[in-house]
Amino acid sequence: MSELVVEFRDLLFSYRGTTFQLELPGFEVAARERVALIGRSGCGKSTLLDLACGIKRPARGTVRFNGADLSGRGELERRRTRLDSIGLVFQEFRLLEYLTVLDSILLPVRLAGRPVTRALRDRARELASRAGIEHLLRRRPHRLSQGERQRAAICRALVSSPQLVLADEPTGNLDPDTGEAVLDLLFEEVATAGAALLVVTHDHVILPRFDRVVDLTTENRAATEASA
Amino acid sequence: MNLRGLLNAINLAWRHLAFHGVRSSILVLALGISAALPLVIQSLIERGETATMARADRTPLVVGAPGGGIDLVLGALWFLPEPLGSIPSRTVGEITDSGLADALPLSLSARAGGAPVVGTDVGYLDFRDLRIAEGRSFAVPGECVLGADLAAKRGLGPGDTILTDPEGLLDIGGGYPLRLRITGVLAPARSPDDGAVFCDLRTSWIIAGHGHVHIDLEEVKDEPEVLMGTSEEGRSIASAAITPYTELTPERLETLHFHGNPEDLPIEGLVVVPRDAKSSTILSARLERRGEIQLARPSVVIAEVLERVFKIGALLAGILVATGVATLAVVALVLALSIRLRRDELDTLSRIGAGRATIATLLLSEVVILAGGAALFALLVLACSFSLPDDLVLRLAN
Amino acid sequence: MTTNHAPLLGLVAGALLLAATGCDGTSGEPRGAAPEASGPPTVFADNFPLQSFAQVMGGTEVEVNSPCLEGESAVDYRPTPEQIIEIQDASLILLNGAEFANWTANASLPGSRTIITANAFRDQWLESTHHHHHDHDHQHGPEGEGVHDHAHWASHTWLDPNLAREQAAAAAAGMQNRLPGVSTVGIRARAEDLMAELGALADQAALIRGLELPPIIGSEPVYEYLASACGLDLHEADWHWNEPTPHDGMESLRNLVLATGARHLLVPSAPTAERLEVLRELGLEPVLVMPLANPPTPDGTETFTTLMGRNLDQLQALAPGQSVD
Repeated sequence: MSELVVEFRDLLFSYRGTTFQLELPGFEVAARERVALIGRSGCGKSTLLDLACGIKRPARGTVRFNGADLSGRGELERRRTRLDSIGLVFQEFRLLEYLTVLDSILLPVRLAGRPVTRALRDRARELASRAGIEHLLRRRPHRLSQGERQRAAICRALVSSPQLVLADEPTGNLDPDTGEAVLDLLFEEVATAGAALLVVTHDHVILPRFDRVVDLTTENRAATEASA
Repeated sequence: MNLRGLLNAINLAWRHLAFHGVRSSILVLALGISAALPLVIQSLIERGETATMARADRTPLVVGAPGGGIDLVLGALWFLPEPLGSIPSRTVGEITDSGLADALPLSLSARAGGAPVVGTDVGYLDFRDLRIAEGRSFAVPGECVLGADLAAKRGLGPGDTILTDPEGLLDIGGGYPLRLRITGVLAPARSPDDGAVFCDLRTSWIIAGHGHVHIDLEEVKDEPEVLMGTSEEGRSIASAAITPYTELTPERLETLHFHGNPEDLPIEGLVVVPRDAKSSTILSARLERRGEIQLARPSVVIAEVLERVFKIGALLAGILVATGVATLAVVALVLALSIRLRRDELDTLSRIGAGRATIATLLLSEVVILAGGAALFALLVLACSFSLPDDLVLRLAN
Repeated sequence: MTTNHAPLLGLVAGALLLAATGCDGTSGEPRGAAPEASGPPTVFADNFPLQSFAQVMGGTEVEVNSPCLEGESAVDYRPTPEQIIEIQDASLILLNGAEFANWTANASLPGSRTIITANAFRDQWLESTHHHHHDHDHQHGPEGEGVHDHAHWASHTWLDPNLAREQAAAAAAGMQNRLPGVSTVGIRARAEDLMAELGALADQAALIRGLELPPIIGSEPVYEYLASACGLDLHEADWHWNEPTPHDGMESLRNLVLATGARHLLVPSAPTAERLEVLRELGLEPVLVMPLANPPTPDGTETFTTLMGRNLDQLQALAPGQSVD
């Protein structure tokens, strides 16, 4: 088995003031591995993504990213890891209305406080070209179709050459044909970048495209106990 | 956060503001105006005060009929239309003959299309440093020169004429309109002189009906308003209005004479320019003893007036400051609301990896850019206010 | 930049542009005193005596202008408005007053720089013996009737050396106060000399008064002040003495000669041979006394005091026992 990008050990997470709990004895994603995360609504799929990229910290246990302890680090370092090594794709795209496609793609670079070099611009253009939205680089989101928006968002997630891409229902707001195309793009680009991919989805049709499917309804010990 | 991070945050802030250009502009204008207005008012009042005080300081003494000192000074220096009492013109000679001072007579009762017609001595123009920009000064009764603003406003220049306003219809003794020949236009002086007509004192007396010329009836037989008809013997009959008729031609001037001794004819005011401080003291003491005339020191009178104006101005500025604070509060509310509306956007930034510091910098940058724009706009308004005339305060009071 | 930046950018750019160009429109034009031509300060005098006084007292430090230097009659001079403007620009304007030079009554002249020299002795003004014709016979309304109808004053004040001296003193005071850049010391020194000369003329006039000259006829109404200064028994002839042909006045002159027993006629300039013959027929000898409102020659090379001295010499020569040249 190749090296692990994400590794959860003896993990427990709960939201304060709720009964929700996520308890995972073990969960990992290997390099270049494509994992689909399924499960009932509210079983903790999105929470798992947040834990994997350091947005949330577990109450117990560890989250390791690239072999290093992520959950034990400070806020600043977790953000730095996210900006440099993890790409995020959201169901509702989350493009900033005032940024053009090009600026949207380059947003993680700017937020990381790095200079927007010519090389980075070229990379952004190349990504857009491969996503088929090169001609839309100067447009703002309100003049893009849903599919075009998600393509731009995927480009944004990949601009920093991440080792891991986390996607939360990336096709949830798209019609089936568009969803299919966007997913093609995602798979292609992740493969090109050599990144691992962890996708939360409800769409069982696409599951065969993944290396592995994890059903959180069964994996989450807390949920199993609660439902038992 | 490094410098690059700061610049990137400012860049994002600018993009956000630019995207909402109209809203940002309105915020800038609203903030700018509420910051500028109290400053503009303050500055105008101060400049008005300086300019007003300067004219008052450059006019050492004013003499007129007994009454309100303020009316006399405002009339003699700013030609305000309030009617003033009169003193005999011999006062000019009495002061000049003392050897202590020069005296410049001012006849202020006439108007031409609302503009003051100042009957005076040609020396008044030198006294006020008024340069002839076009044409020449007045040389004989019936001629006049125009202040720069008045000439520009009415589109008049040398060779044109200007008609004086008739006095009250019941004033049978005089007050016929006189057509003044414009011989020159003064260079702009940025003072009340820019809006006035200047002519010889004798011209004002003719306007007021204190003097008249004789007109050869042959000369006016084509002017129906003068000629009433022809008598049985074929002699022309002239209207009574022939007396001071419209225009003083050189021929008519030959026959000019005044009713009574010109020294008894009235002037409304007199600018007195003492030779030196000692002469001023001696002359003031002499003039103050005389009950039939009033001596006013414009610097003292205007200082009192301005004290009042300044108080009103301070009140006004205070009200505007309060308005400004309210505007500031509204703008703060708008910004706070906009942050609430941008919660999703800020959450996205946070998720992608922007730290609290970055987000705070982003928001602060927007406020700073807006405030900077507002300050710039306020400065602009302030700069523009400098083009307003210095004596605006008194012009408004007019 | 994309189009959406336009409103805000426009605002900022406009603000900067306006701030840079400055919308306050202040003109840096300096305002100063009336433009002073280079060269010495100028004095204007409306007749020859004042012109002469000013030139004598000012020397080369002032430029004196007068219509009498330009071949104009100082009495009948009628300046155009443009000429009045030139006169306004003089540093000092010396006028005779006492109704001399009608044009001065209606000209706009700067009071502070104008000295009416005869105003110093208003109480000594003499009424004109000449009969004035009003060329406007008209009726006034009740309030205006006769109001402006007053006596006319004789205006050749300078023919009384004492009054000429007062006029010179008034001119001297004006020149000391009103001429920028001219040494008052120099003016004062020259004024004292002039006063002394005029004083000598006054003494001579007093001397002539003591001589009690015989009755004398004046050919023109200009000798009132001379008569007053020299105690002359002056009779005025209503006779245009130097016209080419004799006229009606001839008879009244003859009557005047008979009535007064006068043997001498004061004439302003030398009569023609033809006229001289007419006068001699009447038993009158012409005595040249120049009125001096104008210089006898337009160049004005001789001073007023020299010429006035000559006038007084002519009168002094009329005394019994003195020979007439």
